[in-house]
Amino acid sequence: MIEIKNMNFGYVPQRKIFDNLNLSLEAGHIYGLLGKNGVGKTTLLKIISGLRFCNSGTVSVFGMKPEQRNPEMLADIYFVTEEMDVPTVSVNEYVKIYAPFYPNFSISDFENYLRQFEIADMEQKLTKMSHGQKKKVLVSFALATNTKLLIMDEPTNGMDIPSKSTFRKVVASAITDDKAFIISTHQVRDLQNVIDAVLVLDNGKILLNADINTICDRLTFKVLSANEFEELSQQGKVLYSEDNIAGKVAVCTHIDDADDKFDMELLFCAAISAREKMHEIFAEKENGKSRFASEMETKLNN
Amino acid sequence: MKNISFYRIGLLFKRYFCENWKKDVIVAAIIFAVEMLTSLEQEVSTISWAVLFVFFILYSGRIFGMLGKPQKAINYLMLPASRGEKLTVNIILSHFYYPALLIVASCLGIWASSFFCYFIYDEFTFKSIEFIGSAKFWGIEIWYLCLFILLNNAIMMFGSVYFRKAAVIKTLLCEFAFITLYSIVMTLIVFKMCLHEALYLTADKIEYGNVIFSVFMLCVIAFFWVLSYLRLKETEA
Repeated sequence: MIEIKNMNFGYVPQRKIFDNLNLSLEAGHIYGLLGKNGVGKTTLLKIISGLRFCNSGTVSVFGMKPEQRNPEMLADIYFVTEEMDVPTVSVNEYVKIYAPFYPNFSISDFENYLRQFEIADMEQKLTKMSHGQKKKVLVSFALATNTKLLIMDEPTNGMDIPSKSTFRKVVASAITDDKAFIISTHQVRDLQNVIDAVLVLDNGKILLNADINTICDRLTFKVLSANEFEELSQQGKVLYSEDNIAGKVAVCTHIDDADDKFDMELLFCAAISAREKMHEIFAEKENGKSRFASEMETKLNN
Repeated sequence: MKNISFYRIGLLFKRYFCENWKKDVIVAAIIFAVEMLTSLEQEVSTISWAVLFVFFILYSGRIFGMLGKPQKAINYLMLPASRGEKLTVNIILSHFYYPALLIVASCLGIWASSFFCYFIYDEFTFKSIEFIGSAKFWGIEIWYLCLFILLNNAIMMFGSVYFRKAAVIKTLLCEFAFITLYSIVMTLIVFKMCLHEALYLTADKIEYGNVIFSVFMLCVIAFFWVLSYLRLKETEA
C-alpha cells in the first residue's frame, strides 16, 4: 500500500529530518507511529499524504506519487490533524458538504460512531463545540469515509477518558483487510490495545517496523525481581528497565514461557535506548522477509 | 477518475457557498447600502467603481488565503479534487461571481434609492445607471474595464497562492513596482521614437492597436492563471 525507498527530506538542506528512510506499510493493520518530539512524525504523515514533497527518493501510495495529489488518491486518504480548523457549519451541513467527495462514505457508520461518542446534536455548529467534541466528530467522519488509508495525528488529544475507550472501540471495529490506519501518538497507553503494528521513528530512519505478534515473539516485557534482573543483565538479555513498586519492569530479549504483557511505552523506551540491539533483533533480510518469517519458513521446511 | 470532473467542480462550489454565503451576503449588503445612500440625490448614478475595485482586490487577493493557515491548507489540499478543478472554481469565483455579485448589489442599491426617495420626497423617479462615464453599456470602454478587472483579479489570485502571509499588500507592492518600471521603460521608448520620427496615429492604427492590446491583455490574464496553477501544484502544507 505504501512504499518509501531511500527517502531524504529536510526543511533546510543542512538539517536532514529523514536520511535514506525506507518503509513499507501493508493494508489490514493499524500502525502506531511513535517517536520523540521533533523527530518528524507529522512530517512523515504529510509526505505520505502528499502535503510535503521529499527531497529525493521515492514515495508511493496505492502505486501513485502522493505529491501529484491525484483526486483518485485523495479520495482514498483521510488525514485527521492534531489541530483542527472547522468551518462555521453544523455537523449535518459538514456531512452534506464533504461526504460526497468520498465515494465510500457511509452515513449509517457516521451516525453510529457519533452515537458511540455520545454526540447527539447534529445541528450544533462545529465552531461552537469543544476541542474534544470537534475531534470526535472529525474522527467519526474520517472513519465513515471508509478510505483505504486513514492517517490520524494525535487523535486522542483533547478527548476525555470514556471517549478514549470509545475511540479504541470504533477504530478496532472500522479496520478491514483492505484498509490501513496510521496513528501518530505520544499517548501510547491510550492506544496500546488498538495498535497492531508499531513504527518507531528515530534519527531520520525507521528504527522499528513490526507487528505486535512479532514483537512479542522476540521480546519479553516482564516485572523482574532483583535477582532475576541481575541474572538476565549478566546474560545481556535486558534491553531496558525501569524501577517500579514490585521491582523492575524490563524489556528483555525473548524468554521462553515467560508470562509477559506487551507494553508499548516500554517498547519505545527500549527501542530508543538500545538502538543497535533492537535493529539486530528486528533486522530484515535482503529478500524482504523478516528474520522471524525466515526462521518460521526454515522450521516448516525442516 | 477524470482529471476535470464537473461533479467535483460542483462539489467545490457547494462547499464554497455553504461555508461563505453569509460573508458574501454581508459584503453585498454593505455595497447595496453604500450605493443606495450615495445615489439619493442623483438622477443618474454611476457605479462606485473605486469602492468595488477595493473589494475586488481584497477578495481576489484572499481567494487562496486558506493556504496561509496550516490547518486550512491541509483541509484544502487534501480535498479530493484536482488542481485544475480547484483553480477553475477559484477563477470563476474571483473573476466572475464576485464582480457580478457586487455589480448586481450596486445596481440594486441604486434602484432601491428610487424607492427610498419616494418615501422621503414623495416622488418616484426610476434612476438610470451609467456604468462608466458616458460610454454605452456595450461600448469599448466597458470591455477594457472588464479586461482590467480580470487582469487585476488574475494577478491578485496569483499573489494569494504565491504569498502565504499579507498576500494583498505584497501583491499590490509587486504590481506597483512592475507598473512603475513598465511606465519608465515605455516613456523612454516613446520618447526615443518621437526624437527620430513623428508618430502619426490614424483611426486604422488605433483600431488595430486596440485589438492587439485586447489580445495581449487576455494572454497576460491566461499567463497568471497558468502561474497560479503551477504554484498550486508545488504548494506544500
